[in-house]
Amino acid sequence: DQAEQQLQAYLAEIRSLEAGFEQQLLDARGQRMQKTEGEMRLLKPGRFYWETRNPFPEVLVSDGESLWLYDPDLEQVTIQKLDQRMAYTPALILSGETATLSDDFEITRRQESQQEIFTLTPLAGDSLFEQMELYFRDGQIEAIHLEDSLGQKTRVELLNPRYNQPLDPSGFDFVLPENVDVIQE
Amino acid sequence: CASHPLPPVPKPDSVAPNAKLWHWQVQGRLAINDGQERHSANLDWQQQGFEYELMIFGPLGQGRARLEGQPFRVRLTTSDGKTLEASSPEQLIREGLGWDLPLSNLIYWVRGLPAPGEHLYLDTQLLRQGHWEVEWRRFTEVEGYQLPSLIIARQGNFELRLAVNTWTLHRNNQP
Repeated sequence: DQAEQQLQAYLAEIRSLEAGFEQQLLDARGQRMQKTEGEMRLLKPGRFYWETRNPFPEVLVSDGESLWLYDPDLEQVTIQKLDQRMAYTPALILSGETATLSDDFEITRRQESQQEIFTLTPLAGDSLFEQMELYFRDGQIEAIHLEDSLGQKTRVELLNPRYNQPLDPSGFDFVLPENVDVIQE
Repeated sequence: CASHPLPPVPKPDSVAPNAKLWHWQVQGRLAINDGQERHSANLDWQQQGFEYELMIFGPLGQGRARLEGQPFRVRLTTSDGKTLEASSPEQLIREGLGWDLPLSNLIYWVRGLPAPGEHLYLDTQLLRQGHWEVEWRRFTEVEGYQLPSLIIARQGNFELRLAVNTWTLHRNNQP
């Protein structure tokens, strides 16, 4: 349908993306519980790097097949295969191939002043979120909002996104720091 | 990632002053791994004398649980509103969350101290206590006190990691 085609057209235009981000976690009443910030970059197909700086430093890196979750405070790295259920986090929707989005989501579109908002509602029950909204301005993504089954909202605001710059793929190979505990899941 | 210079790991006697710290807040990250399952959560722990309140919430903030304890009376409220009571936090956390969290010992380990009872220092920052082996991996200095910022406790293939992101010492600690 029209909403899905438009969203896929916008997502297909993203070959690479680099941005700062600010993430807010709100409880069901809209009270802010946590604010984190960091930087992200992604390179199609499938590569992304998502670093949260505070309050808890955490680095999420994917090469399209595996996912590394590095927690510097805990000195721990978890490595897991990228599974389908994980496939629908904001980072993966932006960096993955999205031809099959409509198999897994009902997609609707609405316009609010200059922003075009696509709402994705998972068809399967076991998804990590109840609803995801992607905010575009002039065809470029600027925010992602998620709501989970407890009504808690996560809002990710992309700061000065830079589109389709040449990015070196090796920037997405996770280098294991020394004496870190590695958990293979 | 920010790599701040690591203070030298203190000798047991240099953490002795921590024994009088009974009014503090710890904010950090908890990871529990029993060989099959792995849980991780954020932790907000308020200690006031022998009373404590622990907020345990998932990485994305979901699944908030609150544990309130006084000696011999502990209550757990889970995110779906259930409340459980017991005399020991360990039993309650196992029933309510299905985790093994040796909280009674952690009240001492988190301050770099052995819990009351028999223990043996295997190294300046490695302790054997009962079936547990406790490693104080990193320390930070807060108002002149050497306090741990990463504690690893192992028992068989069970491992608990507590990373303290922020230590706050309240005013009413004895001088």
